[in-house]
Amino acid sequence: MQLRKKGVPLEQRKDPAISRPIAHYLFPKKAYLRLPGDAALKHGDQVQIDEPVFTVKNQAVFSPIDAMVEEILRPSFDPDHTYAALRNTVTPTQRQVIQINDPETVEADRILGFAKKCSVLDAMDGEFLYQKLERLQDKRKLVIVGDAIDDEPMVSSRVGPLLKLTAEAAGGLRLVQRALDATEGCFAVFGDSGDAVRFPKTLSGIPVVKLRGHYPARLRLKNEIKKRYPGRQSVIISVPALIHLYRAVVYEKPQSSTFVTVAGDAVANPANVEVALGTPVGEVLRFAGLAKEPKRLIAGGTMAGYRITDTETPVRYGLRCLIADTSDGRRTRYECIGCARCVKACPVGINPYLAYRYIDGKNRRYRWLELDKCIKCGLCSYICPSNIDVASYIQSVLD
Amino acid sequence: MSKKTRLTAQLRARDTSAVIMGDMIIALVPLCVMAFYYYGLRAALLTLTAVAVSYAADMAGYAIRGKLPNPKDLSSIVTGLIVVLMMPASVPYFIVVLACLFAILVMKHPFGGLGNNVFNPAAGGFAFVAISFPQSVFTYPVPFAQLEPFGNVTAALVESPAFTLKLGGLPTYDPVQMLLGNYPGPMGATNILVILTCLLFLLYRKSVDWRIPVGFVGASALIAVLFPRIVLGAEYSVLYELLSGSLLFGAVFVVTDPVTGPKTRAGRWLYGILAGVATLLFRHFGGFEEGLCFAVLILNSLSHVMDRETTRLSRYLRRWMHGDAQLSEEKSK
Repeated sequence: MQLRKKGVPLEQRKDPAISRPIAHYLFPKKAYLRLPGDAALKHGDQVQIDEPVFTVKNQAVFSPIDAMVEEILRPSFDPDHTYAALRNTVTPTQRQVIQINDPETVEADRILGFAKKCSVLDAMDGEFLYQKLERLQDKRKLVIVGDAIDDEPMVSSRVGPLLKLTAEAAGGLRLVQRALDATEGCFAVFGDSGDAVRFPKTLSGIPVVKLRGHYPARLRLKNEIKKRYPGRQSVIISVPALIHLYRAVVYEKPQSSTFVTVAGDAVANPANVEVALGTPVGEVLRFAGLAKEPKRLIAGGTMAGYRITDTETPVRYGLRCLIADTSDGRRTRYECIGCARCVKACPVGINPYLAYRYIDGKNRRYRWLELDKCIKCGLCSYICPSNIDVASYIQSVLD
Repeated sequence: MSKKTRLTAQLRARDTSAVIMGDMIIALVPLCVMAFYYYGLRAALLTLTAVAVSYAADMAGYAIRGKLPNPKDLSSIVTGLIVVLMMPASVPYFIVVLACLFAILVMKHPFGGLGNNVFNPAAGGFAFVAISFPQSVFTYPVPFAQLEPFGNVTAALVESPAFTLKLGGLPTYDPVQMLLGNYPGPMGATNILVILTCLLFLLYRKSVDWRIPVGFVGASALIAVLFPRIVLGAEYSVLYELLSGSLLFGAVFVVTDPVTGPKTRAGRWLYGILAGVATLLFRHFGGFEEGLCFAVLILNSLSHVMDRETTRLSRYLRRWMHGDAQLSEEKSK
């Protein structure tokens, strides 16, 4: 019996983004496409939307927009790689969406084929979906879990599409069930998402599993699924990947967009936006309406994220959110007072206090602290009353 | 994004170190008020002296170490308050000054200052003057006695119930009066009800870990039951042992110091229990009526060991219970 909820309660603040319909920004003026080492594109080349431009590790990379290659460069936001700057050449028009295949009748082996052809990627773990499905094809007694867990404050780029594009998400889940011959499937959500969100028991007939407790919730997912579906192996796929899979099968549409939560007190219209990959973040922010000049821009997540300083940085898989704040978040740094709140907050039981002391004191004993158990939840930095970035110290030795 | 960018929390919790220290000061203020109520202006002036000397010594300590003094650092004020509230209201001013200077300039800064000190500065400061001037530190005025605000005190000074216990006698004070603080004893340590309320406040604010005071008081009570110094029986023994001296005050403010205590849960249990046992041992066999500060100083030296060994033991226990399966699961995560 659990008397106290596990984890640290965080103010979720997912409203209003989570309540609004998904916005679409699929025709940016400009987009950046990262090139493989050799010269895949050159200045003046024309590329077409949803057409393969080149292949990387046998997987096609599609152009996100109809464009002309304006420049080949090593940009300031990523000087280690070569990018093609694409300039949109077509006025955005309402594209006709034509259903090509019926999701109810498409055969199991063709589903994998579409996933591979359209390069459907699960941004959560960076693995192509067809590879994941191929690995699991011979397994029996599976339960497919659509992962829509957004336990970080303000971020709802998985649960938002689940709630607003339910038909596509459910369709994608059912396609995976058919591909793997799995009779059971469910969506997993973070139950403590705030007062704005009320999860129903089922969505399009698929049960919704609410993870109890506070942040971080994902590490409780496997146990929760084991309890609900005993004897079954869980296959966890993020909901955006399921939506892209559905589109890949039904419309044969390649994956060239990602869902991003745009929020923060500098943004006039916070929302979950489907953005074409490669769109500069500045354009996405202007689309969502910048009410004030942001002093900081957070991406990747609010607990385990990073700052963006260059607004030309392109949107890519794993961006998940763009939080534009008017405060720069600087807080006075004090000395460590040994209060051990980080020790209490750590969900995997490593001792962040001791790790910080050892690493800061350049004492090699940190190697005995099992720091590789760290799940990068960021709670040690969040909870520290002296505003020490403890997580950063731990990460510095794990690199 | 270059691969060197690290993912880190972008948000921060609201509580800061200044807030934690502020909470401790808020918890100590009612005790200062009660000291003023019982002992008059002298108590207030002694408190102010302790605070001023501690703060100035702290800033001087920073300067001596070549660091920029941090005026927002309230930890020295907490130290000064704790030191003075463990003393009688009749104590000479120079003893309070010495205790605070020792606490800050010998027990704190030479070890690295805030956050790095091994030993509890308040306990060290009090221990220093207790050993050096036991007559002044362990004799107390009666509440509501007229005490001169400055200079030496001419009122009659008596022993506290802790001394009576040491002699093997039964204190004659009514337990209800002891709860209210209406008996001779350290300025801030006699008001048991107020101390317990402050403990609840600090627990609510999460400034102290409940394991330490619970372990401490529990162990002290157990030793008092098993080895009573009063012939009347176990319940009297527990009552008077816990209410006399600065045991409860120490349980809330001295033993719970986050810097010098252990950081892990199991370590804190062990620390609290051992502190309770050691305090009672000092009371039984030590030279003075109160042994809290000496017990705390000894256990401070073992804080890190307690953390390290309890962590190691729990890891071995986990591996023994779950076997190699968990070991390989841990490695594959």
